[in-house]
Amino acid sequence: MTQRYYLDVDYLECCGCKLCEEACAVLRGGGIVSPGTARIRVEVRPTTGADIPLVCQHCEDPPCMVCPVGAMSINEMGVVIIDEDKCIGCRQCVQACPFGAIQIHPVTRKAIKCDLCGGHPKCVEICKKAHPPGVIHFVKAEDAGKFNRDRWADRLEESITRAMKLTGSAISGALEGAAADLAAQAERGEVG
Amino acid sequence: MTDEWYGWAGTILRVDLTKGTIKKVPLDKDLAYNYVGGRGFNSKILFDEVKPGTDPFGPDNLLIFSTGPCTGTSIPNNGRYTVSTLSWVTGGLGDANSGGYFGQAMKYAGYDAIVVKGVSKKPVYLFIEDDTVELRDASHLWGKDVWETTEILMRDHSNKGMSVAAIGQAGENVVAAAAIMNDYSRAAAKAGVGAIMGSKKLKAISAYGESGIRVYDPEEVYKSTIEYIELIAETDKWWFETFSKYGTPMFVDQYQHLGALPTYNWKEGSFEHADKLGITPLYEKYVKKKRGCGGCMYHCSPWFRIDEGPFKGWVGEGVEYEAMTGFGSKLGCDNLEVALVGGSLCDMYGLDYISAAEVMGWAWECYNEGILTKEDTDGLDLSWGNDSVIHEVLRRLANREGKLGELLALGSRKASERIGGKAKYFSMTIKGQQMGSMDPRVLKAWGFGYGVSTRGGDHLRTHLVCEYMFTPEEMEKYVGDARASDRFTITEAKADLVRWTENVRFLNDALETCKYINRGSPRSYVEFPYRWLTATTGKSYTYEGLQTIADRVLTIERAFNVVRGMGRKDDYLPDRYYDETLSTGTGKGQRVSRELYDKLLDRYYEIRGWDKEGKPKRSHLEKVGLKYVADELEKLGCLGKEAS
Repeated sequence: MTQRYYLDVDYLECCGCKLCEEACAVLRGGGIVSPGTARIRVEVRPTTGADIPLVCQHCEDPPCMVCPVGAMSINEMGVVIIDEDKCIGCRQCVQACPFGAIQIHPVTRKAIKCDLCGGHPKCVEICKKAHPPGVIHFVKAEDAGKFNRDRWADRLEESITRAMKLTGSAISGALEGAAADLAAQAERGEVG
Repeated sequence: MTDEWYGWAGTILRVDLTKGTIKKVPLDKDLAYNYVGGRGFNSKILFDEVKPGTDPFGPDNLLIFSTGPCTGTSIPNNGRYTVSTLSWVTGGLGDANSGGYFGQAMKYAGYDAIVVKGVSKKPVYLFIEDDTVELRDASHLWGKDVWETTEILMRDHSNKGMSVAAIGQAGENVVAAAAIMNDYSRAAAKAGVGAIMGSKKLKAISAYGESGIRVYDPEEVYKSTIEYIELIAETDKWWFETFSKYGTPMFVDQYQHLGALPTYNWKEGSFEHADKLGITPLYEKYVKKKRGCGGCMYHCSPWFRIDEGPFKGWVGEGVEYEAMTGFGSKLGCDNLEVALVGGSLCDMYGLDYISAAEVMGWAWECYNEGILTKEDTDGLDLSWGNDSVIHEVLRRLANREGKLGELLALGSRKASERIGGKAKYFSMTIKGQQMGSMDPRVLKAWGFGYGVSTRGGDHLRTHLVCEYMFTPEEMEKYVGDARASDRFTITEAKADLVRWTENVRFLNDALETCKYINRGSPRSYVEFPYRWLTATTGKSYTYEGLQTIADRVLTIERAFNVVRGMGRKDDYLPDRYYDETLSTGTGKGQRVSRELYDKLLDRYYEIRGWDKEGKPKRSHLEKVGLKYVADELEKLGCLGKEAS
């Protein structure tokens, strides 16, 4: 069986910078740099603080297969792809996708979506560089549960230890220490 | 999108509010290639089209919004734009720069710049969605704050992805501290640009676009982006990690340490309760996540929510060092929650944190010195440390309500001229512009940069963290004098440092990248700007070529001010910095020497190609490709003397 992958998004950590969207549009926009040519979109909601990257999940049973002309398929790597030659621009897949991850290219008027950049997704790379460890991860499909279990366990561990107040003083102490660190760093010339 | 352009979108919108007309004009090649974008576009258009004698509130004043050739690409921190106008606050050049997504949105819609002239009879907003550009009635928005306005426009147009730049009550009421806000909490803050927008009855611009732009070399655009992030992460790891983690509130702790934290309206440079305003309480209780502007390689904007107490339920974003010091140490207050909510109120009313807090600092000091009384303040007690009135004062300021609101709306220079006497001494402005919050007495080059800034007192016109970041060896290498690395010392080389970093900062404003990207290795601002420009536009730029463009724009900005009677006399700091030494903090005993400051001015004018009065000389103007400006200055009797 071939190895399948998907992009795992940490919705709580996204800062809404859209570097992923911009990099995608620059490299994969078909010559047009625009949110309309990016295969990942980030919706921002400043009043609630929610930043929401929307990207193809490469579903096991993709709703976008609703395509009436058979332009949508799953390739041998398990990547859901569009055959743009077949696409008639009817927007059925756009409407069917529960993640809003498909859109119509403003110039070609064909549906476009993420194809995982052949296994080296640039959105993942730029996000990791700018905001280490990154909020978009290239994850093996069968590891989804494990990957998210670790993420949520880490968060729960933090809140549980806080609630238990076992290490509460250590945590607030660390924050106080951070201010002292800044002063010490300033002393060494590391100043904003 | 115009097919012949790379980097630039290729079209400028010309909006006439008096006539209610909109024209789409092809971008001029000379403007694009020789002024790059953003502030470069704006300053040239202002000089060319806004003639001496123009009334800032009249129909002939322009309000120009410009993006740069990198806006909307993946170049780090590309989500910025500059707004420029003839400022009512300075009487000369006024410009302001903001992040968020607005610059990208107007660029994606297909426009490099929006040039607004005229005055509308009734409130309007400019609706932009790709090719559709319309002036629409804004009667239902007038009187609403920025956040309400934004939400109504998103709802009316069923588009939560649109970006809205709007004024709040402060802009409508033509308040000197009025900003133009975009994406709720991003401010084009300086120079009272919001007041000019209000005087034109332009409530908002909403922008959304998918037409997009083209870049000449996509692979190189992406590659140079990644290399840049790696460069900063490697050569300035501390900054990359710490600034991403804390954002500008960390400067409370740091400037306190440097003795540069403005306290009691700049009387002192350190505050005894700074720890209550710093990152420890902020991150322990209030900040829930960090956000970034479009294209941000950090994410310096703390998003906060207050969960209990009198301010329960308040949220806000982009809470910033300037709010902590502005509504904190400058007023002698130590209530972080009041500062946080004060910042959000500014965002809603459309007020510049800095200018609002500064004019309040002035009022607080006048009140404590007995110059203003309760009669002047409509009964409010402006004693140092009284944080209970701060939000009420902001409300009155934004609405020009009562005697106090009317007075503060003028900004501290004009307000102090009205009051007279010692009140003028307490007005901490340069060219009428309220300053950013680092004490010039302990950062001498930075202070000098405030003085000569073409838009008035300002910390963003120069990249003077070099003053304490560079080692003596680096200082020797870049400005020829190792002593310049001592922040307390004034050496003539600091004039060279100011000139060089003014050029560095101009390139941020022209490409439209955030100023916080210039860190670590000077490679970051020597090598990358021309590389990015070449990759996005396909035009061949060099470091030297960009220096000439920077010299050109700095000089045309100077010329814009000179023809309005400004000169050497306007390049000095407020008297307090020369006359009063700091008595607390690590800068204890520091002040600025007038004599040495004068020497700095002489040196600075000389290397800028201006005469001793700060007027540009013909020889320099011609050298930087501004013969027509020389002719204009000569006609007006404002040309610099060659011999001097």
